[in-house]
Order: sequence, then C-alpha cells, then structure tokens
Amino acid sequence: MAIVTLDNVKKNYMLGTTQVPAVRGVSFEIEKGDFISIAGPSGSGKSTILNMIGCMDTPSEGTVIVNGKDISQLNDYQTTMLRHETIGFIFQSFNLIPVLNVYENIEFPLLLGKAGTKSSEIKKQNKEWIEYLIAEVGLERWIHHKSNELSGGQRQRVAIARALVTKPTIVLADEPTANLDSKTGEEVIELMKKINHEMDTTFIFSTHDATVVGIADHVIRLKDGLITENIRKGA
Amino acid sequence: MMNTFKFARRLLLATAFFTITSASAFAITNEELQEKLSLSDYRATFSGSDFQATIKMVSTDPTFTEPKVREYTQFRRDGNDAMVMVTLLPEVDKGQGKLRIDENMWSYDPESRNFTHTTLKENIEGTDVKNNDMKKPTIATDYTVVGFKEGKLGAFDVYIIDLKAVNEEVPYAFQKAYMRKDNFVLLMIQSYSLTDRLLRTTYYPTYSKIDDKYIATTTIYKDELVAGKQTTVTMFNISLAPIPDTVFSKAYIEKINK
Amino acid sequence: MIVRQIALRNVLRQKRRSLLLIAAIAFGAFAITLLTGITGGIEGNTRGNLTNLYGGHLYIRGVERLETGTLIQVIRDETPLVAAIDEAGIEVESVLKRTSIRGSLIMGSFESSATIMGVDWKEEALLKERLPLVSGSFDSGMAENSIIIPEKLALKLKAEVGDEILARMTTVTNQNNVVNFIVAGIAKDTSDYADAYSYADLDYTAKALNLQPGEFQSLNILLKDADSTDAAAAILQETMAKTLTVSVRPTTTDPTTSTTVATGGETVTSPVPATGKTGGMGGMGGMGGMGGGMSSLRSSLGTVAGVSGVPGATTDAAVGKPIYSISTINDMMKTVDNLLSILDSIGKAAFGILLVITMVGIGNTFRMMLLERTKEIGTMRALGMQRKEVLWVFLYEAIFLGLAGSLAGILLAFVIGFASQLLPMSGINSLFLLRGHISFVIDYVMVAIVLASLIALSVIAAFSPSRRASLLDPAAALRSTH
Ligand SMILES: Nc1ncnc2c1ncn2[C@@H]1O[C@H](COP(=O)(O)OP(=O)(O)OP(=O)(O)O)[C@@H](O)[C@H]1O
Ligand SMILES: [Mg+2]
Repeated sequence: MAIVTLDNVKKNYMLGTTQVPAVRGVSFEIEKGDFISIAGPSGSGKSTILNMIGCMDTPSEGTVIVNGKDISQLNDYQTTMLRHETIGFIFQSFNLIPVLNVYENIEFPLLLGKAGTKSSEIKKQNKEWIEYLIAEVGLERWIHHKSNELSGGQRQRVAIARALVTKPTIVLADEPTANLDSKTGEEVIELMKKINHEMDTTFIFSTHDATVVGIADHVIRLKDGLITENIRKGA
Repeated sequence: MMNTFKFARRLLLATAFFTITSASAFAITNEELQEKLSLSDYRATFSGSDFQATIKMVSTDPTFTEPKVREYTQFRRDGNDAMVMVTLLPEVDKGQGKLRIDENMWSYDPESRNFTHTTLKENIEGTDVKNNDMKKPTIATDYTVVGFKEGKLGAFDVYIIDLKAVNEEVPYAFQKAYMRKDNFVLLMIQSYSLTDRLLRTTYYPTYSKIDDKYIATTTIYKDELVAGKQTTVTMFNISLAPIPDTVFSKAYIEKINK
Repeated sequence: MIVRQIALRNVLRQKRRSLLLIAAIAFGAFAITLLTGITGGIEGNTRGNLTNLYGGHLYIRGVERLETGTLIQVIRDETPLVAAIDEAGIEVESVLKRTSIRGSLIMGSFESSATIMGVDWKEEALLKERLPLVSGSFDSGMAENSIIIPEKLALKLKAEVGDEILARMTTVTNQNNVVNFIVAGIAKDTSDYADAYSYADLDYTAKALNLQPGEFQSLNILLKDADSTDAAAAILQETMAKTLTVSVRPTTTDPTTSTTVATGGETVTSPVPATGKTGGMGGMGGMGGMGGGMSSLRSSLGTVAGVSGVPGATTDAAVGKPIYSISTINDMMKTVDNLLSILDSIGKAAFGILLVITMVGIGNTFRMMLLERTKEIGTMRALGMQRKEVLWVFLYEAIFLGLAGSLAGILLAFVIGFASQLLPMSGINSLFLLRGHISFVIDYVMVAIVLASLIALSVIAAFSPSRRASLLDPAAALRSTH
C-alpha cells in the first residue's frame, strides 16, 4: 500500500487578483521505504508538492493522502499531529532553532506535545536514541554547540538527525543540498540514503541537481506544474 | 502672709518711679476712682462719632538687630464696637486687613484671599500690642478698684489705683493704674498675672485733646518678662469725621486689595 | 517544558532589548514599591509618634461652660470616666491624665515658644523611658515646678539644669499668666517627634492654667490592642453616654464641621464648629514643615488632637455640667491619611502612565520579534509544534520579562528603602520620622499586587502579537526570509 498518494492534485496561488497555477494536475504514489527525488527547474512546483505531502498546505483540487489520511479533511491541530508523528523535515537553509544547541535541536520534536508526561524510562531511551543519531550523523564532538558555530554541512546533519528523531515514516527534504557545496551535498544525500537503508524510512527530496538525482531510486520530473517523467530505477 | 508679701513687692517696684508722699487722709474713695476710670474710658471712646488714624508701631526686642516698624490705617466705630485695620507697612504685609465686630475678629491675607478668625488676646504680629489694645478701652468695666495710694510719677501727682479683674476672662488678673490727680488722665498701667507677677507696663506719655476726648497719641508697651522688649505706638492723622458704613465689612478689605 | 525553555532562551537572546524592557518594568515596580514603603512608614511613624506623645489611643476631653458663657477645657473629676472605662470592659494598658500649655519659655532676654505637657510623673513610666536625659534626672529633686525641656530649647534659652525659667501662657479662660519653672532635666535630642515638647508636673501646670489641683484636661487611654481603637471608642462612647453627656464622635472626615451631642441616650445634632483654638500641637511649628500644606495639617491635627484645644463644644452646654468628647488616634490620623492617600493616588497615577508606556514598548518589541522569528515559527510548526504552544512561547517570554523586571524593581526599592532608613532626615516633619529617620515598611500585599499586575500587564501587552505568531500559516512562515 502506498504511503503517499496524489490524485489529480492541482494547486493555485493567488497573486493579487490573478491566479497562478503552481501544480496543474499531478497524480503519483510513493511506497514505504522509497528514496525518491522530485526534480525539475525552478518554479516547476516541487516545493508546492512537498508542502502538500508535508501537510503544510492543502490542494486546490484533487486529493493528497498521507499515511491513509486525506489531508484536506484535517484541521490545523490534526495536521500538526500528523506532521509531528509521521513526517520529518529537512530544509534548504537548515532551519535550526538558534537558541538551542545540537543536542537540544535534535531533541526538540520529542519534547513537543505531551512531553512532560513521559516516564523516566522513555526519557532514558530518548536520550540514547538522540545520542545514537548524533553518532550516526557524526557530530559527537559538536553536541553542545549552537547552530551558528557549525558549518553548513554540519547544520544539515543536525537537521537530518532532528528529522529522524521521532522515527517518522516519511522524511521530506526540500532542496537539502542547495546551500551546500557539491561534495558536502553528495555526502548529505549519501547519509540520507544510508539511513533509508538502515531504518527503512521513506525519503522524499526535491532537487534540481543532476548528480543528486542520480542517487535516487525513484525520480519524478516536473515542468510547469505537470509530471514529465516518473521512473522507478531497478523496478 | 501671702498678701503682705505681694504688697511689699509692689511697694518696692513702685519706688523705682515715684516717691511716696505723706500718709495724709485720702480725699477720694474707691468708688470715686472707679468713676474716674469710667471717665477715662469715656474720653477715649468715640460713640458719637467715627475715629480714623494712622498708627505706627515700633518694636524692639533683644533678638532684633534693628527696631521693626509696622504701620496701619485704623477705622473705629465704637458705637457698634467695630474696627478695621489695614496694614501699610511693612511692604510684605501691605494690604493685610483686620476686621473686628464685637468679640469676633478676622484677619485677611491678600495672598491667599482668605479671612481667618483670630482672637482678641493674640498679639499683633511681632509686637507687644494685643488686638484687644486696639479697641475702645473698657478698664472701668473690666476691673474693680480695690484700693489706692497717692504718689508721684515723674513730675505728676498721681493716684496709684489697685485694680482686680471682674472675672477670669479679663486679659490681666490685676492691674495698677497711675492716674493724674489734676485731670484724671492715665499715665501708666502695670499689668500683673494671676500669679501676681508684673507682665507688662503701658505708658501713655502724650495725649491729644479733641473736644471732650483725650487720645493717647503715644503709647509704650513694655514687656516686663523679657528685658528690652517693647513697642511704641504713635497715632497721627487723627480724624473724627464720619466713615462710610461700607468700610466695616469684609468686602471693603477685599476691595482695597484689588 | 520546551516551551518555557525556549521562551527563557529567547529572553536572553537579545540581551540589550530584554534589559531595556526589564529596566522599564523595574522602574515602575521600584517607584511604586518605594513610594508605598515610605508612605507606609510615614503612616506607622505618625501613628506611633502621636500615640507616644499623647500616651494613648483614646482621648477623653471635658468641656465646661462658665457663668460668663465661655467654654473651657477641663475635667474636674475623673471618677465617672474611670468607672465608664471599667464598665465598658476595654483592655487598657494605662490611663493618663494630661494638661497642655501652649506658650513660651523665657530665660533672661531669650524667649522661645514651647508646648508644655502636664503629666503625672508617677504614672508616666513609658514617657520617662522614651525621654533619655542628657543632664538632670527624673527622680532626684523633682519639685512641683520641675520641668524637663528638650535639648534644642535648652540651647536656645542657654538654660541648664537648676536654672529658673519663666513660662508665659494664657489660662483656660485666656487670661495672661506666668509661672516659674526649675529645669530638672534636659531631654536628649533623639530627633524623636516628642522631643519638641517640655514636660512638667500635672498639678503645677493645672495651676498655671488657673485650674484647681487634681483638675486636668484630658484622659488619655493606651489600649492593649491598638487595632481595637475604633471599637473601644464606640463602646466607651456608649457606656459614657448612659450617665454622662458625651458629644457624639463625628463620622465625617472633618471632625470640626459638625458636632452632635448625646444626652443620656437622646441625640441632638448641633452644627456648631469647634470653638477651640488650634493648639496642642504648637510644638510642631518649630520643627520645620513640608511647606504650605503642612500648616493646614498642623492646624487640623491641632483641632482634633489638641489637648488644650476646646473640642467640638456646643452652645447647649449647661453651666457647670461637663460635656465629654472622645477622640482617637485614628481621628488624628485622618489628616495624615488624607495627605498620604493623595500622595498614593499621584504615585499610582504615575505608575499607571508608566505602565501604559511600558506596555506600548512591550507590544512593539513583540511585534518586532514576530517579524524576526517568522521563519523560526514556521520551522517549529513544521516539526509539530501546535498553535497553542507557539502562543505560550511568546507569552512565557512576556511573563519572564515581567517577573524579572518587577522582581528587580522591588528588590531595588527594598535596598534603597532600607538604605534610606540609615540616613538622618532633616527638612521633613519629624512627626513622620522614627527618631529622625525615615521608616520603610514593606506592604507584602502591595508587593504581591505589583508583581502580579506587572506580569499580567506584560502578558496583556504581548498577547496580540503572540496570538498573531501562533496563527501564522506554517508554509508561508517557512518561506519568509527571517
Ligand atoms: N505562495 C505563493 N504565492 C504565489 N505563487 C506561488 C507561491 N508559492 C509558489 N508560487 C508559484 O508557484 C510556482 C511553483 O512554485 P514552487 O515553489 O513550487 O516551485 P519550485 O519548483 O519549488 O521552484 P524552486 O526550484 O525555485 O524552489 C511558481 O511559479 C511560484 O512562483
Ligand atoms: Mg522550491
């Protein structure tokens, strides 16, 4: 069963009085464990589609089903819950919370909601898990540093760990390598791929970088809000 | 015992000013002297006419570096027991007014534009003169003659009259009045406290005679408790012409300050 | 948890800006706490000073009409009063007989105005305790005309122990009088309010006032419990009215405007103002006032408290039949309380204005923070933070600012307030001081109110931008450049 289903999804934005069609009728499915790249030139609708999958936005027409739920039917509280429980986010400009250090940034999603009611046993498990993730992204030495003391690549590693901390089914990454040099960008994608293998987490990332697209198992190409190509490698 | 002591002390004080003449038989009685005091009061009371004068008060005090001078215009209508005094000097108090009707007295402060009720027994600011001294004299009604002697005060032959207050509300419990034998004019009054101590001596060295009235144009109030403390009051520009009724009102005092 | 943690870290993030807000809030808290602390001290000191001065909380005064119609202040026989006090069941610490002379003391060519309290030395243990002498003593050679004079007055008169001084005064009937005193002691200048008074024998002062030995002017009752003053006054009033003529205690703020007389249960209102001279507290005159307002305070205090002033007497008084009146420390305090409440209102108004300005500042700062942190809000929302939690991140920040500001202000007020107690104060009426020093009295209720209101107002000021932060569309917020 598909973890994400888009069915004839359209999204229009209002720019003043004129309607700007960002997505003009897109349908596809993403399976659990996919490592999928949404590629396309600037303005083709990549971010719009990722936002809808990430329950940050709703389609103007058509349905987006995430983890079995039609996101158009959910209120703000429910979509927030769905994001919190099911989805991890990695952003182009990393978006670490500046007042928190590396450990705290990664821990942050775990403390939302009914964090205060968690037992000490769970807290202990969480701590081990966070430390495992920090080791996994190779930032043991930077654990108490604030984000402004880290390089771009290091920040994106923190963001990856943070996206994984709630053990989400889907991780969304909107151009995760755009602000990184090509070598670091590749390393970050490789790290994501490694975690994809190890944890069977679905990764959906957008990019217009051809080398990055090459690493993906599944590529959806967009142009002007429409799918031009949908290839599953080795499938 | 106590009385003889009092007597001796008064005697002693008196000798400073006069010498005792012969102890010849007195030709006048206490009752007659009481009459003479009434005459004295009558001569300084202007029931038939109004009275107006400029009054100057010069005070000395051991704590003053120089004498303090105050000047007032006084309007009196003794028939109604009314009086108005308006300050001319010192400059800072100029325009302050006092209005007296019977036993009530108000003073007006032009700065705050307020009247405050004061009592007749209070001294006029910084002087040894009481508000009460500025009204028509009532020595004959306030005091009873209890005895007298004959003596001399300076060049004058005088009766030295012992007076006792008719009640406890008269300003001084006892007084001694020195009255000229020839014309029954008062020359000096010594005022004593309830405890029989000399508090104040009042001298009347000069008089002015208008018709049957005798006006003490100079009065010296000498404080007998604090050496060197005294106030000399002189009156001039005296007039007995009628004063408009409107003068004896709060409104008048307010008006002169506009 | 994480919400409070982030809020706290956000406070520390822009230290300069936060400090500015904290300082603004602190200033308001400081000013109002200091003001209430000092006015509280003034209230307490005035109350204490007056209680000490008059040796009690309740004062019974008697007025009698003479044949001539004049009213004089005298109590000729205390037996019915003492009986009434007993019957009323008031718990008293002491009952003191007092007279008061307002006049002047003279030695040689030096004269100085003075208020002489006539006291029964056998009964005045407390007074003796409060009057440390620099020379002389209370016990050795206390003659009937012994007088204790304050140090300042002794210097002015150049008088020493053993010197004879004259006292000029008027009797109860306003007759001029003079008596002599022998200086038995000179009271140390402790800057205590009562320092300005001279103290002499009750009977001797009575004689000087032309009263008989054993007669006096007021009976001053020190209660065991000062808080029960009003209740005790009411009971005493009621008890005395059964057998004596008692003028009803006025309930208006100005006790001189109207006087009511109760005669054995029957009550007659008489709109006669007090005819007494405003005496009794004359000693305050020489002690340096606080400007114009003080003179009216002085005279109205005198009218209420003046042991020598004839209280709310009435024209209906029958000759030879005493009319009693009861006044209390609270009556005397009314003038002071009024003055303080004006001061308090001005302070609170200024505090209010300050708060409005501070609130505008907080509001603006939070709007700025909203703009600066839009992207961050988007990120937190994407990571699963609910709207309510975003709201609380901001509100907690406001709470922390309010808490830090008000605590800092209150603490600073305490420091300044307690430090100011150490400085001797001149130029302030010593009635308000405790032995020449300001008292700073913490009003914990007020402190709690200041703390709570400042926090609440910070939250209110921050609420609208905080709410807007919580309602941001997460996707749009993420697109923001900040
Ligand atoms: N909030 C918005 N309001 C108006 N138009 C928008 C909005 N967001 C996106 N668009 C428009 O929708 C179209 C698709 O935008 P989108 O951001 O999805 O493209 P993209 O493929 O992510 O491009 P890029 O590679 O530049 O990020 C563009 O034409 C863009 O201008
Ligand atoms: Mg994009």
